[in-house]
Parts: sequence; C-alpha cells; structure tokens
Amino acid sequence: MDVRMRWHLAMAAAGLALVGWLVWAVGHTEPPPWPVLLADLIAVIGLAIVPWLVIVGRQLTRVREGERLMSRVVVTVAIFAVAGPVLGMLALRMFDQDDSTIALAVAMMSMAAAGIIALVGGVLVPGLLLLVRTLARERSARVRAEERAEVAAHLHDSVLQALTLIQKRADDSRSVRQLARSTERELRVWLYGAGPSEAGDDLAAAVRAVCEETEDRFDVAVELVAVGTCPLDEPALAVVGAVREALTNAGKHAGVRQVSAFVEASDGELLALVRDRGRGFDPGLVPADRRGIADSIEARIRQHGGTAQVRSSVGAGVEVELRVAR
Amino acid sequence: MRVFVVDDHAVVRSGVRAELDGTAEVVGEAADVTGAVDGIRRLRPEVVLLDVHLPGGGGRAVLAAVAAELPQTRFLALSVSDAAEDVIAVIRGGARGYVTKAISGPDLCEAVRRVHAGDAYFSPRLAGFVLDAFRGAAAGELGLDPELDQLTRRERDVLRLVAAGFTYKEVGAKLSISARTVETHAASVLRKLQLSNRQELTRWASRHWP
Repeated sequence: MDVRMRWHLAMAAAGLALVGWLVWAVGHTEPPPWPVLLADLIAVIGLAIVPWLVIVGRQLTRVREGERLMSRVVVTVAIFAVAGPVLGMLALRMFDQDDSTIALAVAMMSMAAAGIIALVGGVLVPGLLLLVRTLARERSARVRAEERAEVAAHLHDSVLQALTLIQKRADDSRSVRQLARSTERELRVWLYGAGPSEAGDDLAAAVRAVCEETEDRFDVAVELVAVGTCPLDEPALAVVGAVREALTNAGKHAGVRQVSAFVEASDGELLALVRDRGRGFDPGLVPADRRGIADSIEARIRQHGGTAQVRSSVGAGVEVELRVAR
Repeated sequence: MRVFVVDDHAVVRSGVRAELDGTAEVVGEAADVTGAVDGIRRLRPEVVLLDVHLPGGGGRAVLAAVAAELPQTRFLALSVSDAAEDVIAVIRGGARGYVTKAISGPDLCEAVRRVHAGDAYFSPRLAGFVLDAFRGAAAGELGLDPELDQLTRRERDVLRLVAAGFTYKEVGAKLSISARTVETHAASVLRKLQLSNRQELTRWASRHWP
C-alpha cells in the first residue's frame, strides 16, 4: 500500500466520521441557514465517497470497460450534484423568497442521489467487477498450468521417446523414417484432432488407418487428402478394401517413397484416387494368375455397381481411380 | 526472383534457402512478425515464403500489415500446420498458395515460380480444404451464394486431381485442357475463396477442425 493510498483511506475514514456527525447534528441541533447546510452536505458526502472512487478508479483504469464505466459515473454524479442546487436556487428566485424548504429539499435529494450513484456505480459495481476478473484470471492461470503439464507429459511420451530412439538407431534409416512418421502422425492428431471424422468408424477414418498401415509396412509416405466422409456401409467398405490393395501394390512394386491418395464422399458418389510416380507396369503383360488388381480392386468395386480403372505404363507410375454410387 | 523467407526455425530457413538455390535469390529472412514486416518493407521482395505460425501474431499479421501496401509482392504460405482454419485464414489474407514443409525441393521451386507469375498454387492439402469448404452442405453455412459462389464442375474436377497429387500439367492432360486453363480455374477458385464472407468461413473452419 503506497502513501497516496494511505492518504485516500484516511480521508475516507474522516468522511465517514463526518457523515456520523452530520446525522447526529441533524437530529440534535437547530438547522443552520440553507447555504451553510448545503455546503456542509457537499463537503461531507464528497469526503465520504470521493476517496473510495479514486481508490477503485485507479485500479479500474487498467481495465478498458472499467474506464468507460468510471467516466460515465463521474458525469452522472456531476450532473446530479450540480443540477439539484441550481434547480433549488432557481425555484427560490422564481417563487417564494422566504420559504426555502422546497428548494432545500430538491437540492438535498439531488445531492443524496449523486452520493448513492457514486457509491453504487463508482465503488460497489467496479469493485465487484475487479473481484470477478481477479477470480477469472486466477482460474485461467490454473487451467494454463494444467494444460502445460499435460503438454509436457505428452511430449515426453511421444516426441522425446521418439527422438531418443532415433538417435540410437541413426544408422537404420528405414526405422528412423518410420519412427519420425508415426510420431508426426500421433502429434498431428493430438494437436489438431483427426479432422472432421474423429468418431473413428467412418470412411475417412478407415482410409486414414489404411494409409498409416501402409506407411508402417512399406516405408512409404502416403499423402492422404480426405474430403467429406460417410458411414462405413458396404460400398464404403469396398472402397476402403480396394484403396488398401492399391496402396499395397504401390508400396510393394512402385519403388518410390511417396504415394498420394484422395478420397471424397459426396452426396451421390464415393471417389478414390491412388497414384504413385513409380515404376509402373504394362497392363497387357500382367500374368493371369496375378489376381490382386482383378479381384481385390476391380471385382470388389464392380460388385457394388462402381467402376475401377487402373492406368499405368512402364516408367509412368500407377493411377487407380474408383467410383461407387451411393 | 527475389525471395524473402519468414519462419521462426533457422533450420527451415536454411533448408528453404538450399532448395531454392538456382531458382531464386533469397534476399532476406525473418523469424517473427516484426522482423518480417520491416524486412519486407525495406527489401520489397517479389515473393514471400510465409510461415503460418509465427511469434507475434502469425502469418496473418504479416499479411495484414504489408499485403495492401505492396501489391507487387506475392505471398506463399508454408507450414506444417494441418489446421484448416489457419490455412484458410492466410489464403483469405492474401496468400496465393499454401504448401506444407514436407514439399520436395522441385515442387517448392515450382510453387514459388507460379506464385511469382501471379498465379495460384494449390497443394494437395489446400485443394482438399477448399473442396471441403465448398461442399454442398458447407456452402450454406459459409454464407456463399449458391448461384455465384459454387465451384463449377470443371473447378471441382481440377481440385480433385490436384488433391490426388497430380501436377497442373498432368491435370490439364487428364482433362484435355491446357495447363493455362488449369491455372485460370485455380485463380478463379482462389478469388471465390477470398471474396466469400470472412466470419462465416472462419466459424465454419473452427467447427470442422477443432
């Protein structure tokens, strides 16, 4: 508590004491002439309330809405404090020079109103506001601390562990890549959620799982873009199965580290595209006993009234396009 | 081409510098919003590679500060971020493309060239975000005018193929149109995205990618 604060408090205490004295004086002494009474009133109410206003106001100026509230209160109080006596004096001049009771009553009521407004609007309400804000700030600080602890725990479990393993296995580039990929996946899901399909049992989630499985089995990175999703009904399951087969083929035969997959569930159709820029093959030269593409991709999709196209030529990669109506 | 790189990781900045070597001259770097705004104002680069997440307000703050006063400077967003909200926000802030940091060197050079030429560059991920944003059900929430702001069938086809990892040239060949026409479609998608109602889009994105 600084010196100024102490002065304000002392003044406020003196003001309160004076209020007590005023109340006693009204009851026990003859009323003085009205200008004296008015001046007394202004001094006492001012001394009892202004220091509090200043104390609260100094803290409030740090809060934007507080500043606005404070200036409004000050203006309103000033209007009441000035308007009452002015009206009283006007009334005195215009009507009756001798009887000053009505004018005095108006002035006093207005002064009292100013005091009450100052007390409620300038001290009580802002005080409550400050209290509520302090509590809210404390709560959010606690929440932040908890979140930080959770982040730290998570980073330790995933990222730190992976980094340690990567240092240990630095010579085994394949397992380093795999570790980096799976850690990245995990961290991504943790940071941003799994996307629109967090429930886990829809088309997008199933395809994502298939892509992750392929990445782990074949040391390739699958860049998946999924747009929209739908429940895993029969046609959707067929698409997932065919995509898995297409990715498996790419992982096994393409000889590249990057495969792209696109899956879209729109109102009328499921569309999946899987492509790699790898070795490719000549579709005319596939031996009849190699049934992967024919059974696992084409037959599966055709069974649900869809179309499957596998386009490739030697050196130009493979492109699989699946369409099934819903 | 004079390129300015904004990223808070020195490793990423030097990686980008190495990958652009031979394609573009990196005239400056910055690690935060203030440094980026100062550097871009001073050096007036032709292309700015802009990290979405930056200390001091993110790529969005850089765009808000300098994009309007330097119409000759093009911005390409570069990030590991997967959050659609952030990506869509920098695109709407004026970036002409978005690539992830996993992008290969040649692809990055291609993206910089394209953006430098005033074209749009859609990475597969951005194409996916945009397709999602314009999907039938979402368009209503977005406050898009169903007549004016829908993607045309052709634009949708182009975006699908980009999302599936095809280059613009391959997309053109597959759709039997010229690469230039693919460019035109991409530019018109970018325009639609930047003109639609900002708040609606942000609200939509934050609901779909928590």
